[in-house]
Amino acid sequence: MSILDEIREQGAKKFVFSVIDDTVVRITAGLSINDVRGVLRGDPAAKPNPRVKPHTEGFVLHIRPTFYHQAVTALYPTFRLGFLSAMLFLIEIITGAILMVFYSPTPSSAYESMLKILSGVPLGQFMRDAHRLSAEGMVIVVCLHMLRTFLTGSYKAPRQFTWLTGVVLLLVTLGLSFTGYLLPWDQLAFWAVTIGTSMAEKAPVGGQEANLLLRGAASIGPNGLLRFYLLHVIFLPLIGILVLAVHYYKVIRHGHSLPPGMEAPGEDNARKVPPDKRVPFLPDILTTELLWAALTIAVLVVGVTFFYHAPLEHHADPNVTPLHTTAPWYFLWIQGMLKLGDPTIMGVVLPTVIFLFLALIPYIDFNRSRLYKDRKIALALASIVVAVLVVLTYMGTPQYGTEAPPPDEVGFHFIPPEQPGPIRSLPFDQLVVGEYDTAKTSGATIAPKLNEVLQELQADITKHPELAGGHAVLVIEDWQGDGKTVNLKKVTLRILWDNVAQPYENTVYIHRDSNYSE
Amino acid sequence: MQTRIALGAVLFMLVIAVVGYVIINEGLLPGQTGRMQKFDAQVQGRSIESGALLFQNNCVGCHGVQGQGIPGVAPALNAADLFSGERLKKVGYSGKVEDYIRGVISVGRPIKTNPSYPSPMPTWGQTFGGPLRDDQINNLTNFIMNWKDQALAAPSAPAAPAVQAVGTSLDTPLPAGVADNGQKIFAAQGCAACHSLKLDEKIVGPSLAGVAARAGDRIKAADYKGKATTGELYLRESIVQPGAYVVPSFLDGVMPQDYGKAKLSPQDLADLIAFLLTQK
Amino acid sequence: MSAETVALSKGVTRREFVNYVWGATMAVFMAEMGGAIFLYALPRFKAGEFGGTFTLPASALPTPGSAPLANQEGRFWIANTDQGVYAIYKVCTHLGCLYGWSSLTKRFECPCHGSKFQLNGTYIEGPAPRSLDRFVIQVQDASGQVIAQTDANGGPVQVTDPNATLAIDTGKRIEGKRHS
Repeated sequence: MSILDEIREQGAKKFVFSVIDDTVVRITAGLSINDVRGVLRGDPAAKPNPRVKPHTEGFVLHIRPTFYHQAVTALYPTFRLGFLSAMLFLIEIITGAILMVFYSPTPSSAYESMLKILSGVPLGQFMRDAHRLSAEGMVIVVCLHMLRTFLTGSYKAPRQFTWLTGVVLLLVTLGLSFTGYLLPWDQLAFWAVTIGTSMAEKAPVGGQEANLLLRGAASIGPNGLLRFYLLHVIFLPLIGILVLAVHYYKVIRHGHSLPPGMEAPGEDNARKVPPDKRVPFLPDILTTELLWAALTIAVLVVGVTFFYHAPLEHHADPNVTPLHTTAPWYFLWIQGMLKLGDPTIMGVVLPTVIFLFLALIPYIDFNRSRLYKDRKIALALASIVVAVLVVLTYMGTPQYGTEAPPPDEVGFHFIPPEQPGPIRSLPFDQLVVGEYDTAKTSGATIAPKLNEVLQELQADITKHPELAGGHAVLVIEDWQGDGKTVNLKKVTLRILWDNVAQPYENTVYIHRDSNYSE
Repeated sequence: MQTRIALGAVLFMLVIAVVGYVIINEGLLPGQTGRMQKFDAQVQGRSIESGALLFQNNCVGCHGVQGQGIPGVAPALNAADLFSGERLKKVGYSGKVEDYIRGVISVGRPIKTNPSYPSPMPTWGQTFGGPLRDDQINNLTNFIMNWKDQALAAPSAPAAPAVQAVGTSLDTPLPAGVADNGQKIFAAQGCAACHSLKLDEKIVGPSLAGVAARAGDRIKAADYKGKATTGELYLRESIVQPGAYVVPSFLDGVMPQDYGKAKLSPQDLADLIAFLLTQK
Repeated sequence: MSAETVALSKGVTRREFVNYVWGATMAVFMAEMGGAIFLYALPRFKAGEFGGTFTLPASALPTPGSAPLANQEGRFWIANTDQGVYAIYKVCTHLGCLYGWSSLTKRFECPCHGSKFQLNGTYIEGPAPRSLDRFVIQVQDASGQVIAQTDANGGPVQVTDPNATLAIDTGKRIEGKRHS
């Protein structure tokens, strides 16, 4: 029968409906309009249950389970951290691909392309900040996910390999974060990565080769940037996606591990879910996941619009290392370790041993029980490790253990090379021309914020016993203008103290439009 | 369950609103001052700041602290004739002022072209073998261009008051010299462009580190042909009669001959000598 | 009951409705992000970049009827005819070659396939299907006010004020008229 005959037989309304219905079945891989409405209304599923068809016949849902055990649907025990990790990975891929439209990976154009993205591309800053914030969030979430998996003992048999792939994913995440860190090619990026790759050089076996492979040359330059870029946009994401596929496959194959209290030691009931404990994927689990996704996106978007802006320091300068150069925060623990001893041991051997140990935990843990009361030692160890990490991270911060001469420290605090600092943050009109000595309290109220900074300056100097009798002189001069209004001022900071051989002097220029206070 | 669905919808509405707010404030249309334009102004401002620091560290020795130039050493940059296009016409350059500045900084003057400036400008751009990156040259250019409005608005500089020149004789009495003033004259007259105060650093002429001690020995050298009888007089002679004695391995006729004849007053000379006497 | 009857007879519950609303917000969000990505990726041109605006002082105009002035970066000729000023796109309307000005024959001639055009861009002969394309010129006086602009047909602009500035917008191109 031809189409026209069909229409004549059924009537136009029925024909249109059957076409739409047909389309819906194809799109959902098995659900008709009535079935979809049933899902959206929360009606009980028909028998036989059509809602498994998108899983059994479709691609998008084929790896997702058709139901969850009720006990793993609440916030505890998973806190949905695995889902969150995968979601942040997806956000990174999307925002990363978007940024690739404008970013250029050569030293002579990288920084310029960053400036272009931030000032000349609509939503450029938004996309960049979203990419950076999600990256930092992903490192945190991935670590929390690992911690949760350890605490609930979910790594034990038969899920050892899942844990192993998870550790690989942790390394991929850290690698992605580290390689991406270099791409802006500013002072922060350049020196953090110089430190990181120098640590690779200290490896007892193959250190030199590893360093050369990463950098593509003796020091980080065009080759290094290109290699880091390729690692960041293709090699690590590819490995990440493949290992993630294996990881998630294993998760579903064994089933989400139940809360420890629900199983006897050595038992694993995840795959045997009684019908009354089944929570279907459509609509319940999907709804919760979409809600979690909505919350993540909302936090990200609000965060990036009102609270967080990724930094961009000065152009990378291979000849000048700024004072208090630091590693990215997730590597501060290694920096802390480096302050304790030999760089080869502390920077290479120990971290390698730690990660190897981490990967092998399920294979050397002979305690079959997942119950908290049977794992007091493991749980105590986990708490100690977390505490040690926190302490090491603090020790890795620039202020700890590395101190420049006191006048340099004061100068660094007030005129930092790469941060605004109190003086640059003053509103431009508060930088009143004159010579100010912090030893003489000036009662002038022409510039109240300037007075505050001068007092802070004197207080900071007094804190250092080596600067007995110390005081600072701040000279502010008009430098350039358009003939009527000044737009550039020169600020010189001099620090003097008793028996000073050479006073500390630092000059900085401040432009009206620079807006450091924002 | 219904709460979750409703909450999900509300969250997405919030996200739609916030993203809309961002898009509206970006400054998409020409003529608006949105975030993009403000950021651009920031970038420009900070470029000028970096340029100012680079200028201070590399250029003031020849071009003067405020870009006013030093006669016989380097031309003024903070000058109306540069930005009005007059200077470019004179040298026959047909492009934009900004390109001229950027090009000259980057290439310098690898060959001597202008007899008024005997000491040629160094090459600064890395492309041509100099020490500065392209973005630094860009910052310097932006800083110098920032003098444009100021220079064009300023009344043409009044002719410098004629200096009562001290003359080239070694006998005329000099007032007491103040070393601090002498230090300023050392910079303002462009001595720093050719004479370093660091030990053994040769720029064009010999380093003046330790010259206070050395001056007395110079006059005792076998090849000394001048008329000074004390170290102090040697210093004076070197300034006002540069050709009287040339330190071995340096060339005659490079140091300007008119410090005594035209540029320095008696007080200036005294201050300069006092300053040089502090270089032990 | 047929599927269609079942589907149409059921009323919409609150949960179903809120699900639809949520779906709509997700769809709007996707559309918004799509639009945002489009705005993000669409090239924007600064002044002095091809695609942006170029300025020319009226004093730099060639005398009417004389050879046109070439602007390399902007890819246009400034042709001053007795009827007024045109900004003509340097790309031939045939197959994309850059044609040149022949001072001998006083016309534009394309070296690739021999298309020929008058000073004001009108087609004379050759395989090109239409006359040369023109850019929109805005004539601004000393205070920046627009005193004349190229019309929608790409007609000439009169420049009467010797202190005026011409702003040629290479982002706005008017196609040349097809000849029969």
